Amino acid sequence: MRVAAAHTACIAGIGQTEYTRRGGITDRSEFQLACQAIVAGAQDAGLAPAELDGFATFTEARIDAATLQLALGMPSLRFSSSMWGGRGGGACGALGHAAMAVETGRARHVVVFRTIAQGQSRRYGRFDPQRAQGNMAAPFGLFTAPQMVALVLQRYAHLHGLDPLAMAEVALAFRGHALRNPLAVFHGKPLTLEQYLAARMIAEPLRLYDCCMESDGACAVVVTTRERARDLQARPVEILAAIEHGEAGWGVGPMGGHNMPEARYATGGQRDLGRELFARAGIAPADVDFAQIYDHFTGMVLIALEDFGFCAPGEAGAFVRAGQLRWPDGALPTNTAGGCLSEAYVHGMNHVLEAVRQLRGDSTAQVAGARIGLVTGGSVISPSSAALLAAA
Amino acid sequence: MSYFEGHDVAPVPNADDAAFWAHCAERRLMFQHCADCATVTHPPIGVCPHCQSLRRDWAEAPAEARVYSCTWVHTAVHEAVKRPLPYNVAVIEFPALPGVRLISNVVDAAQETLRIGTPVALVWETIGDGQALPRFRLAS
Repeated sequence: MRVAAAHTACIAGIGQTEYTRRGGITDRSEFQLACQAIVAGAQDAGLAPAELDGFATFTEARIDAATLQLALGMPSLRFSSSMWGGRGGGACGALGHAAMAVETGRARHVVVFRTIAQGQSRRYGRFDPQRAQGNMAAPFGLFTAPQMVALVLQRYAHLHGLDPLAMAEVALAFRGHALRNPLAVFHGKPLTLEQYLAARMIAEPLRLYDCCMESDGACAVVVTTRERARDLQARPVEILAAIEHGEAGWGVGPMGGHNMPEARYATGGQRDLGRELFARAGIAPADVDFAQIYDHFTGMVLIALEDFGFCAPGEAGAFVRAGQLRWPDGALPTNTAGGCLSEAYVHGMNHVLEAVRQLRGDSTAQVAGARIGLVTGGSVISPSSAALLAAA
Repeated sequence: MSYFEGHDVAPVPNADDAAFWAHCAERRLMFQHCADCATVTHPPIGVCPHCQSLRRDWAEAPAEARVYSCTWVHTAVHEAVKRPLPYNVAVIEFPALPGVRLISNVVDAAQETLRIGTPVALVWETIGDGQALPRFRLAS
């Protein structure tokens, strides 16, 4: 369905709390952080929180919709959804749910949010006994995401070669961007190649700085139609496409028994997602001015560049080593606020916020003339999601 | 002594994988096999992903196995890890059973001897309460 332009979904406001290292926020609850970010998002749009009438979120939301409605003083809750894609895979899918809700008239102003206070809830870098198919992994010492992803990357290295300096460049480029972003957790903390290489090995081939941080903070975006967004105070950002996708036979993939199809084992499980995303928006990877790629692990950024069609399989390492992810001179400035590796780990919602800032002209690493940006959800998890956003 | 020196995490069988673990306790490595179309699936999910049959039996793992992927883990992020670091985790494939892979460990491998494609052979390690885990050794 192609909706009339006036009904096209737009992001009308963004809000966030401060970001800190894990356990850094102790004076407010995870719930309070969510409300703080949502209120800030509504204010950015020029709305009162009571004018919100929908929530969209994704797996592992620990927030109750009814309590949130109560806290925000919303007279009507007309839309509530949670995408099944877990953790970092779901931010753009939730954005897509919000877009559908406003485009079909089910709700007027839907807020998409994520709140994480790892000091209060759980550490994502530790063993999760609730993990699906954990029986097939934990008895063999496979407990955490970096260990699981390491197996994918080792297979990728076997098939294509994996240049450690390409992974290093991902970490260093994003850290460089974070040094410009005062909101980034790693602002003011430069990272050198020597420090990167000297850091401890986590699970081969992943060293410490190949792995994203654990952090506290919350983010929110307010979605409405273009027609309404025009009457609000912030410059709207159009949602060209925001979709979710799970690949055939993927199952729980690397987070479970590692029995995804042979041809896709050494991928992030996002090739079909990327193809469908660009087809839906009617554009090609070459049309994208910048990317916010979910960077739970440096190596998975290389693979995402291939899955989303920026590089052929096996060629992302050379692309990255040529400096193409670096602002301002790279061909595809990526994670211009620092990403999960150096800005904050808010399950990819911070990537959506940075894409909006780029398209408003407000980034601390502003891409000149940025018109279209890609945001990807976490790979190796299914269903995952991604979005293409445009300056309206 | 087991690979994790007696501290191994025991599986907590659920409705879909209980038979897999019961077979392991008998030192038999058996994969979910569709009683209608013979598709083999692992991990066991109780339904055939090819024909959606709920009727299943169990197919014995082939003897020939090799390393599909492997990593060395250098940090102890769980109380079960008391052994010296690093330890390996390997994804095992069975050439005669395409599409079926098993996460395990190669108990006698050193970093120089564990490679993708390395042939391995099944060994059983008892972890208490009668449960046994399928692990592997380098095949000669």
